[in-house]
Order: sequence, then C-alpha cells, then structure tokens
Amino acid sequence: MGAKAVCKGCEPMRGFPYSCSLCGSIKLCIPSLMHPEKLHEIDTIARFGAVLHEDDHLYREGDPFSAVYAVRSGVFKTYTLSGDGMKRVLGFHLSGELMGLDGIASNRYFSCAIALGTATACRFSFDALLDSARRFPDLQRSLMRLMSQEINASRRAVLERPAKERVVWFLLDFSRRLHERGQSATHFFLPMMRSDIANYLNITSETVSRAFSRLQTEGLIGIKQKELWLNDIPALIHLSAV
Amino acid sequence: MTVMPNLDADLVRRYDRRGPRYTSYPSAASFNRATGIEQFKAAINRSNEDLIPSALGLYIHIPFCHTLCYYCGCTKIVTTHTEKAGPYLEHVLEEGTRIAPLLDPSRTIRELHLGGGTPSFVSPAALAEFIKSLGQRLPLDREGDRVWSIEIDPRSVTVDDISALAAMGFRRMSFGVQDLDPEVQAAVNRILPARHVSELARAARTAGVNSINFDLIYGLPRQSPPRFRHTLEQIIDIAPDRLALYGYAHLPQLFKSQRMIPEADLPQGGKRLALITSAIEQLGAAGYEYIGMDHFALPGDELARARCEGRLIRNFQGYAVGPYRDLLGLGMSAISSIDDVYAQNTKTLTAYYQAIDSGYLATERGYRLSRDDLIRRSIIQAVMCQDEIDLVRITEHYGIDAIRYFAAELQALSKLETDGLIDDLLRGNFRITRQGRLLLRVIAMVFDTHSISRTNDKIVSALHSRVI
Repeated sequence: MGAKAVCKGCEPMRGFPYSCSLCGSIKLCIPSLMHPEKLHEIDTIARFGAVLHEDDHLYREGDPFSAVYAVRSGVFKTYTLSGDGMKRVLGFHLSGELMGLDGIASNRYFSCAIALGTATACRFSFDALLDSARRFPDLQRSLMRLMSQEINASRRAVLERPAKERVVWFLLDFSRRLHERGQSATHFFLPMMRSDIANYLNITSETVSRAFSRLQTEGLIGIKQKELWLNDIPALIHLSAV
Repeated sequence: MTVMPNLDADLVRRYDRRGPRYTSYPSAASFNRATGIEQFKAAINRSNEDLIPSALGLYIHIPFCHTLCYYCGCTKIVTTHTEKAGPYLEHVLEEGTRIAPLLDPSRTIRELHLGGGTPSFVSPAALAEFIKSLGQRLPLDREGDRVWSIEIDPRSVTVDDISALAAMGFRRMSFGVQDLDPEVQAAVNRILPARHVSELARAARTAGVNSINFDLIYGLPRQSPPRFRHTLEQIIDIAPDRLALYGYAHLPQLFKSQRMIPEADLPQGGKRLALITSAIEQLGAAGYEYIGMDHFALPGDELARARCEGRLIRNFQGYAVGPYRDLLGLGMSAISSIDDVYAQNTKTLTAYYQAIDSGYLATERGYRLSRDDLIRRSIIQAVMCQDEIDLVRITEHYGIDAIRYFAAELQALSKLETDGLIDDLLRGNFRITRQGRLLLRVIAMVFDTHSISRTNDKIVSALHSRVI
C-alpha cells in the first residue's frame, strides 16, 4: 500500500492517549453524530498525523487512494494541476472538514492537499471507515452529512455571479465556517494567498484586490495586509444574495 | 501636545551604554549572507499577496560627497568628480528596471527619499532627468498622493537649486546643518555660513516646501554649552519644522576620518550631558515637541500630529508617518525592508556596478525575521513611537500569552520602573516617563534578543553608538 509515501508519519502519537472524544472538532468531524459511548470504535481507525508545516503536502494528485483525511488543526488547500501545469484551487479546509474523497472513484487521489502554515490532519483508512459505517448507522449519517458539504453546491452557483459577489460570498463562507469552530466571524486572518483566492473564484488576482478595495471604501470591511474585519455582515449578505 | 523629555544625570551615567538606534529590528549587524537575492524576491512575492497590495516607499542612496566631514560614519565616496554621478544613476535606473516587474501591477510608490552621501551632489538638472526616467521605470504615485523628500548639504546648493528641487516635486527637505559655530565647523571640516542656511530655508518655504528638517549634532569637537546655545538660537530663529539632534559617536577604530578629530577636543562626560540637557530645554522653550529618540518637531508639523494620533512609525529615515510600509532601497549599500525580510545591497561601488552589469540585483546580505523577531519588532516599534505600551494588545494577533511569553522581559522592566524610566507597569502595560524618553534604546533593548546575545562581542558593540 502506498500510504507511507503519501503521508509523513500517520502513526498514532506514541504515549499520547489519542481519542476523538478529546478533540475540539468532534462536533464537526467524522464522528459528529456518534453516541459518546461508541466513540472508542472510531478511535481504533483514526490515525493522528504528524505536524505539517507551510507548503508540506499531505497527499498528491495520482497517489494511490486508501484513506480520507479530516483536518485536525490549521488550514489545508486542495488543488489540481492540469497537463500544462495550470493550477486549479479546489478549496480551503478547516478543522473537521474532509479531504481526499475525490479518490474514491478511481482509486487514486484526484487532487493535492497542502498545508497553509502549521497544520495537522487525521487519517482514516477508507476500508475500515466503510466497515465501521456499516456497523454504526450514526457514523454513516455523519459521513453522508460531511460528504454532502464537500459537494459544495453553493460555490458552483457563485461562479456564475459577478466578481464582487464571488468575493463577498467567499468572505461570508469563510466567516461562517470560522464561527462554527468557535472563532470570531467578524475579525480574522485569511491564511491563503490572494492569487489562490482568485484562482478558487475563477477571477484574476487584480479583480480580487479591486473588490476588496471597493468593499473597504464602502465601509463594509476593513483590511490590514491579511487581517480582515467584517463591519456589516447583513449588508454583505444582501450583496452576495446567494 | 507631548511633554519634553527630562535628563537625569545619574540615570544617564548608569545607562549610558552602546545600543542600536532601532531604525530596523534587528539592526544591520545581524544581517547574514545566506539571505540574498532569492530571499528578497520571495519577500516581494509574499508582500504582493496582501489582500489589497499596498503602496511602497522607495529609498535611493546617492553615495557621493564633495568633501570629507570628519565626524561622518555613513557609507560614502568623497570625490570632486561630479561626472561620476551619471554612470551611477544609470545603474540605479537599471536596478529599478529589474525590480519593477517583480511588483504587483496595482502597487505604486508613495514615498520617495533621496539620501546619502549627498543627493545634492547631483545637479538639479541631472536629478530632474533622473526622476523622469525613474518614473518611466517604476510606478511613482502622481502629485497629490506622493511624498518626496531629499537630504541636502547646504554647502552644495544655491537658492535657485532649492526652487528647482521644489518644482521637481521635493516638498520635504532635510538640511545637514550640524553646527553653525565657525570654530566647530573648522574642526570637522565643514564650513557653512549661518546666513546661507537661513536663505536656503526661506527659499524652500517660498517654493512651497511644507516640511523643513535640520540635522544637528551634539558632542562635536570644540562644542561648548554656551556656543551650542548660540547655534540653537540661530536655528530657532529660522524655525525648521523638524529637528534631529544626534549625539556624535566617536569610533575612530571604525571610521578612519574620525582620527582627524583629536580626542582632547571632544566635550566629555558632564559637558556632553550639559550640551544635550540645555538643548532640550531651549527647544522646549521655543515650542518644539519631542517626537522620539533624537527627533523634535513644531506642533503643526505632520510628525508631531502623527505622534499624538498614534500613527508614528520608526524606519531607516528616523521617524515617519504610518502606516508601516514595505520599503525598496536602490543603490549601493541601500537596505530594502519587504514583508519579513531586510535585504541590503553590496557596499562598494565596484561590486554594485559588477552586480548590475552582470544582469543581477545587487543584494548582498540581509535577514529574514522569525515569528519571535516579528513580535519583538512590533514592540520595539511601539517603544520608539508611543508613550504607552500595551504588550498584550500589540501582540494580540500572534496568539501568544504575552505575560508569560515576556516573563523575563517584564522582570527587567520592573527594574527600569524602579529606576524611573517607565512607570505604571501592570499586566504588560507600562508608560514611558520623561526620564525614559531619552533612554528609549535602553527600554527597547529589553526586548532585543539580537544585541543581548552579543554584549560580549566588542566589535559589534562598537558598531552601535552610545545611548547619550
């Protein structure tokens, strides 16, 4: 199996009493709907990965698929490279969110996952996960819920809209997900490069900065380098109207 | 309105050690050769990725001087051959041409500062030509947005030159006056009639220059409190908007020209202290406000307003109005400060020409700040620019527990509190006292891990001047 090649040290941490019940993201992650007493079942298949640093890959496009990953801390970016080397950013993943599902169909990862700064992820062997899901309907429901989030229908819809609305949608989406994780919805740092945001929204980097400038001039947001303040969320929602 | 600093002789004696001037953190003494062109380019790339790419500052170093002033410790080339400026400026333009494509297309250059050496070594006509070409290569902001400043050796310009420079767009001028006393001037090989200085200042005002700065130096040979008092009276009459009052650092082992100054001519100990003490009193009485370190300004000046409003920043030019910007440095020995990287160009003319002629940039050494360095830099900036320091608030977005992180520093601060340099030290919050004002470096040094680790290194400590 190619797991060793795709992930640096996906061993449980030695001497660390690892359990999903200790994790702050449990309500958002794979075992979210599982009964607390059944959690030890998922502990037997979850593997807490090594700490990754900026630009470390978790897995790469084309690697043999054997597991899915849940972000434990930090932020990951997933992207694909086309034949001519063009990059397409697929998404940014926060704690509890799943990565690697795109490998199910062809048994190879369809994308690359890279850490934006210090980050960790938990590895779940896909076979073991399917087996557990068969035995625990709660786990199956949790998985379905997460997978449907990954399909991310709203992004596809937003790519039909004008550039400024795409940027507003991106900010609101990121803000909402931070809020779900107990962080501030109105004051945060964007960990990704502006060119990655542009790529993700399928607009140019200059268009992104122009949209940010305009929103700042209108007083809806405040910006200092990569630091953001959302001053008027209702107005932003009104603008995005997705 | 800020309160003038107060010098306590006993404190000064206790704390008068060598230290960096904190125009950068860490200081250039920490730069290394491993940080070169690639790191510099990567830093520009990172800074381009801001959500809204920000405007830049541009520093251009013009290293030539007509004559040698004995006190000077700057990187300079003394020559009477004014034709040397032409090829030099060509190389600077070429360097700019190479940097331009690295910048995000939406970024502009807001501040332009010409320093030296002596920028006025170049004739106004040649300078106008140079600025025009520069504007074709780099995205200089248009009039109204831009802030252009130039350092001027009053001996090298006429009243007409001043008008020409102002017409070119230089609305801030900094004059190297140093001292108006003829005997002191003779002792440092820099003869400059007081009358000429006041004529130039008048011409600058008439031409619409909105900020005039005078550089002065105390501790020069043959200076005495009464004579320096007379110099300041004349200066106060001219009423420059800003004043920098630097302490002369006598380091003849490092700067050859300083060997021309007999040690016996230097005002020592108590006399040196009396020079600065009475100067501060005199400036205060004349209505000047204290900005920080060695800088003073009249209340109407932008620097004084910025200090009150908490918008002051410290940079290679001393003090400036924020926000803190990425800075590009062009020319021999110039330092760029981009994102978390400092990058300095090679320090000799031959090596600089060689680098540019071979098609490269001229970066020779630099430093990439760690997270810890960045945290410390933001605190040292605050110490240099504000009266009240709140460690928790300053370091908020680094996600550290400032009180624990700086446990050792807080202990050191409490000693400074006992000595009266700071007060109201509570939960990482403190205020800089009037006595502490002129010892800002001592307070900043508490947070400086680079200089502390080198206190035993004699050469490095000699690189820094004394606190007072």
